[in-house]
Amino acid sequence: MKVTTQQFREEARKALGDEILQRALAKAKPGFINKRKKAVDALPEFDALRADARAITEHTLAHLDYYLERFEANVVANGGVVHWARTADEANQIILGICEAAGAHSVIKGKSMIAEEMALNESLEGAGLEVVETDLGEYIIQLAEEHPSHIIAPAAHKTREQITELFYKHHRQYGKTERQTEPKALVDEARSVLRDKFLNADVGITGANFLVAESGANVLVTNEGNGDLTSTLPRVHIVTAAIDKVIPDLEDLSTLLRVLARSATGQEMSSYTTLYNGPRRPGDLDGPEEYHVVLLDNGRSALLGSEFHEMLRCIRCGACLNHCPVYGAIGGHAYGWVYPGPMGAVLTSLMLGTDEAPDLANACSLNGRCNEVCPLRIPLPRMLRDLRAVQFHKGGRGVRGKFALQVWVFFASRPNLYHASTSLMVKVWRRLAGKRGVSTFAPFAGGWTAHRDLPVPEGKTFIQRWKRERGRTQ
Amino acid sequence: MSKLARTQILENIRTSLRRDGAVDTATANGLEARSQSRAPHAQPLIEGSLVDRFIEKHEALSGTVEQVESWSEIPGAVMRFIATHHLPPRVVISGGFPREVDWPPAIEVEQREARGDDSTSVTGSLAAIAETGTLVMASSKSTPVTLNYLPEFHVVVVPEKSIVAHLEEGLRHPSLKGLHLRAISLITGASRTGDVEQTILLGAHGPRHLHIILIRD
Amino acid sequence: MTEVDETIDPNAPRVGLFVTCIADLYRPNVGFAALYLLEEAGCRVDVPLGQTCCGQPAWNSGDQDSACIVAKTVIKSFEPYPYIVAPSGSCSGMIRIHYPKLFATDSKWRARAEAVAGRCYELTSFLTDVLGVDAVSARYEGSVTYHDSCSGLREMGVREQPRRLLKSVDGLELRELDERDACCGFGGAFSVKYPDISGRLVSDKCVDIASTQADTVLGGDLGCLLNIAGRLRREGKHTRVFHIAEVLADMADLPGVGEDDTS
Repeated sequence: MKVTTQQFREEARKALGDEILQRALAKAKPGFINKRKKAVDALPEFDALRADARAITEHTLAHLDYYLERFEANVVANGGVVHWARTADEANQIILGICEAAGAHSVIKGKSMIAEEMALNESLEGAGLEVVETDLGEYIIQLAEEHPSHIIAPAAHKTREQITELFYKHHRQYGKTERQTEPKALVDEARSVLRDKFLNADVGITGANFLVAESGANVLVTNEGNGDLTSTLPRVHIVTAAIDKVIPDLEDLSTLLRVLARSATGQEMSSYTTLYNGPRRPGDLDGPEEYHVVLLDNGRSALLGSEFHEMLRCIRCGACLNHCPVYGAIGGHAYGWVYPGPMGAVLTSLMLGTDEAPDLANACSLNGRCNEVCPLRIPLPRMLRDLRAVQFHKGGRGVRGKFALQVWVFFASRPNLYHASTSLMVKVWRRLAGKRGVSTFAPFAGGWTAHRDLPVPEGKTFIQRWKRERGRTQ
Repeated sequence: MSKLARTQILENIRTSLRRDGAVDTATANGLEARSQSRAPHAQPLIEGSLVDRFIEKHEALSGTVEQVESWSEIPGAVMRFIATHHLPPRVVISGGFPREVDWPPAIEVEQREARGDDSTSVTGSLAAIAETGTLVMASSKSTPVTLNYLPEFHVVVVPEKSIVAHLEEGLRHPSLKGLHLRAISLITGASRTGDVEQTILLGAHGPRHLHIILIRD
Repeated sequence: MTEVDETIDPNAPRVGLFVTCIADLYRPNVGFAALYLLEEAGCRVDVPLGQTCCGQPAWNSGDQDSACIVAKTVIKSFEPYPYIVAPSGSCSGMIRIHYPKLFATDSKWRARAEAVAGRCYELTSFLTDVLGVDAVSARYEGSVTYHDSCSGLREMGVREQPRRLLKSVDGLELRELDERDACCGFGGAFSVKYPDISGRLVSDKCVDIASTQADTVLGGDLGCLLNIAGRLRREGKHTRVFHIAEVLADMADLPGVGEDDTS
């Protein structure tokens, strides 16, 4: 996909002015927040579960090599094949190789953020394969030739009217010639069109929510059931997963499942959670004949042990997006790559580098709500601040106002000088403003007055008045 | 390519973890012991009747339940479900019911995997989890998983005594025989989607209706 | 109110008031209100003159070295006090939560930073949680809504304390916002660096404020209040804006934040 992280400011401005997008975002936001809150409030043990979930992922990361090898051994014992890929390119090549060996023409996919990270669809289509997304949201944006704007609700930016038009345009070839406007009719129409795709595909590709080292299972969590059909109906099943998806055992899985669905959609459990252990067993009536797991690193092994290693705890629930005021205002596409919102701002800055994504770590008010709702308590604000420090020391784009900061530090570390100059400044400022309470220009802070006025100081500083009124008794 | 990649990725991980090679034996033993301990982490408190909680959770997800006394009542219950929903009197079923079910001639029954146009399936379940109203199913020769995902209507037979409290008990159910079956499915309510303006709708790709026949026997 | 009470108990809690740079510059009244509330609650209050700013602008810009320089001046000035109190969740959060992190690799200064951090409080939290104050004697005729600042809420655990105190103000009716947890879009330099996004957040906040039909907005952080007042004025709204300390101290008798001086 085209990376547009450099154009963040421009894209954010466009998003703010896009009325249809704003309507879609306004509709999506309260639902996510309220549902999560209700689910969390109903579970007194939620914080205890979060603490355990955090400990589980930290434990796993500290022994990541051990658990990956154990997972691999179990997949092989179960009759599957494990492939290792350092980069997205390598992973794409592996998957193309599997498809070619299988003589595949058509591929169906379950929702997978790793596949987005790899730009897998482009790779497969480039090789002449038909690729069909089966998660309804992914399917909608595939028709629209867009990318997900949310990690669990890929079409959160689309309104019903837009979906109506997309289906009307693309489903005529299947004999669906009426414009469906009701959500239920839209879902039914997609079900019927995709049913044939499921039944006739050669290869199914899914992501994995977790990989269980103990048994070699890939755990797939969905609500639609599309992931299970994708894992079961085609002759070949390929799982794409990042190396940080592995967890030790089923007790750990239970804990993570308890926090995942509640944080994501406010459900206690998603409709379908399936542990897939390999190809069909002798005598099974359904299931794929071949089973592959592609493990992708793509920079994660280097993050491990760095000040950003906590990002690897992320289970992709989307809660930080749903509660982020910036995401809520501009949606996901403005972030310019696969991962939006707070987790995306951190991950994208790390994976593409702060030179490629100079704004992402900065476009945040550090309000801390993402950290508050994160089921794994990932310190996202701290990491965003650390990324700013990385940028600051590197210099270059993204570091703005460095000179102003230096001037400010000079004064702020010399109290007498500071108080003398601020007294003068507020006096002049007040005099210029007269009796007005606000000004429409802002010295040193031009951006401020684009959308708001700037209140004017009272006219004397506190310290000035304090010295006069109380100073002599100090 | 993959082999070299494997070596490098593992090496990178170890470098990041400031370790020279694989974990030492003592650590490995500790990790093995951790996994063998099967000790659950924090769990939601579950009080009162497991059966009541299971029903309550299942119904909260728009599922329906009919309680019957014994296995012999299953065909009657399935017939009632089919009549209520105006479905064709044809069901595709799994094997592996603990007891033989005597199906009346009025209903056409086939035991096989599901196909794209099957409207109704009837299957058993290995266990049910009261915590979340979840069913535990596993794939086997006689229990193809397509029965759980393809038909629009899915009827599941659940003996009351198979209801366990927590997720862990479901996942560690003795009948899962060491976990190496192809698929272990946890099913919680019908297929749903919120992808059209966050409106929750049932029957996205899987069953739009999940009906449970709960057997007291 | 500004005379020193010579009869004050020498055993009274000694507080160093951190006025905050925004209150110092923009609205000294907030500092005097805080002073009054602390003295009314029986504290001996000093205003160390070595204070300037907590250093947050540098810290949040990734400039740790500068933040350390400024933080050292604060630490030196406030070390003698058993309690350090600021009428701000953001600045007290900086001192309490972030100062120790600033000196992670400097053990001598880290110890000093931690000592100061552990004694630093947000004003309403100090009054209620430490001093046990649950009522003030003040009067404010009108309906108010309260904006929780993000740092107050999430770093300093300030949520119920200001509300408890507001309940005791005669004539005041509290009307809660729909989205109590939502950021107003201030975020310090964020509001200047990303004015479009920040502008959207504050305009959403003003919609929420308007829907309460309250005639006044209060808050515990002047940064948020400048932002909110600036947007309300731009929209031509007349909702009044005060820092909570001004109302609790019965000192809301001057023009609100951003109001013209009509005297």
